[in-house]
Amino acid sequence: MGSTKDSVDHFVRSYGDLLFDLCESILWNPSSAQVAWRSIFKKIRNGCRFQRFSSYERSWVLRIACDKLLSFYAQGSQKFSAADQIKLDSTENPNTRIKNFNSYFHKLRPELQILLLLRDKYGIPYSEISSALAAPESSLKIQRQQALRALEEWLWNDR
Amino acid sequence: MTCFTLQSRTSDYLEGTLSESLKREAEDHLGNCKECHARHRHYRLILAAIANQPKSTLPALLKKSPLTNPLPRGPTSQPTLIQWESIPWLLRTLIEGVGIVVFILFGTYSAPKIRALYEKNIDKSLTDFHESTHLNEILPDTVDPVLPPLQENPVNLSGSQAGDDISGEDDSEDDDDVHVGRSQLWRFTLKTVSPDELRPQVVKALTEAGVPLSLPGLGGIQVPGGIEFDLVLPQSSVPNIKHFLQKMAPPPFSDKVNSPSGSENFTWYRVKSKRKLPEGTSQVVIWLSQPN
Repeated sequence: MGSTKDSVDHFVRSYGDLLFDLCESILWNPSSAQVAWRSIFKKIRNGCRFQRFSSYERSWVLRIACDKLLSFYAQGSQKFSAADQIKLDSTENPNTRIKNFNSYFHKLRPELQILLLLRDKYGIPYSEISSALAAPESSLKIQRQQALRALEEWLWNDR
Repeated sequence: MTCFTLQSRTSDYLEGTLSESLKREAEDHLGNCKECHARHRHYRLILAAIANQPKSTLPALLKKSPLTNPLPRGPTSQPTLIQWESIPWLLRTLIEGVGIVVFILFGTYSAPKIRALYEKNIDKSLTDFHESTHLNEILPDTVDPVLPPLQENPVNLSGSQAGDDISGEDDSEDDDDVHVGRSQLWRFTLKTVSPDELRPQVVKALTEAGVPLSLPGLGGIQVPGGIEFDLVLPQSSVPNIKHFLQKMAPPPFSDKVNSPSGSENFTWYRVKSKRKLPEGTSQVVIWLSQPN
């Protein structure tokens, strides 16, 4: 029991903040983020007994986190209401739109949000993101381009 | 490099992982193509916005005990729950127990009162409904304030037939003073739970049918089981009275409305009377009876 507790403490120290920020960024709700975070760490606690980690510990943690987050997102995280959507679409000024960057960011699919956050907010290499999202690196690069293109269109292109 | 090629290598270009020659080609294209130049400027702004997003830190509650403490359900319930749990368990249990007992006592005390109030309201609304849809429909005007007095039960008159013969036409052996077949007895029976309430309506109906207020017995006679009106009236007024009474009768309890003698609460029959009556008149007995 002691070793499991130590392992959990180690994971909390190493990845607690990162995973919590990821949860909150994706789920957009502190309460849901706490529930998701705990669910991730329960899975980590159950799985860490059977793992012999070397260099892929973070990949393994991120894989669990991504699975759980996508599952929580599908269960019904906060999504845009019709009124919010109309408000976003009817904003004309790009400066106003960039102020609401997070709202536009959350219009992306959750996989793309995770990809952009892991790559551009936390600077995690493609190899680990590839393992976490179970997609080849080349595919991730294309997805990142698509996400940037979509955001650019929403934020700057005249409608 | 074309716009399409640059677009397909955007990710690598932004990461700075393109080879030197490709990077130079991309920069040349961006220098020549305003559209791609603007787009890449936007891409960099987007990436800067993502990178500069504020980072949340793990709440102290989760950091302290990641897997054991109960999680708050929402921002509004959090302070209340924590404050409640901070009370010693003995006091908490005591408060909860007292609360339950008070709730049960309050329920026991107030339930009969609430029920009585509810039943009173139902009775009132039923009475109002009945009065408005039935009696007031028939006789919308107010009852004549000059109501003839109700007589007390006289001797030999108890809602039965004083001087009439309901056995009908076969009775032909009476004494000579009786002119069998010359006069009629109309007997109307109205079943009602409150004859006293119906009496003014009957009086009004009779006066509207042309019966003078001064006619003896117009106020009715109080007899055991109800009120009786025993009147001698012109034969021409009898159909009108019958019509009024039929309308006045409470609605039937069953489907006997179409029976020949009327509804369950209004029955009538006509026989030959043994009483000596002036020509062109009939004896009319109206019996407001309380159902058994």
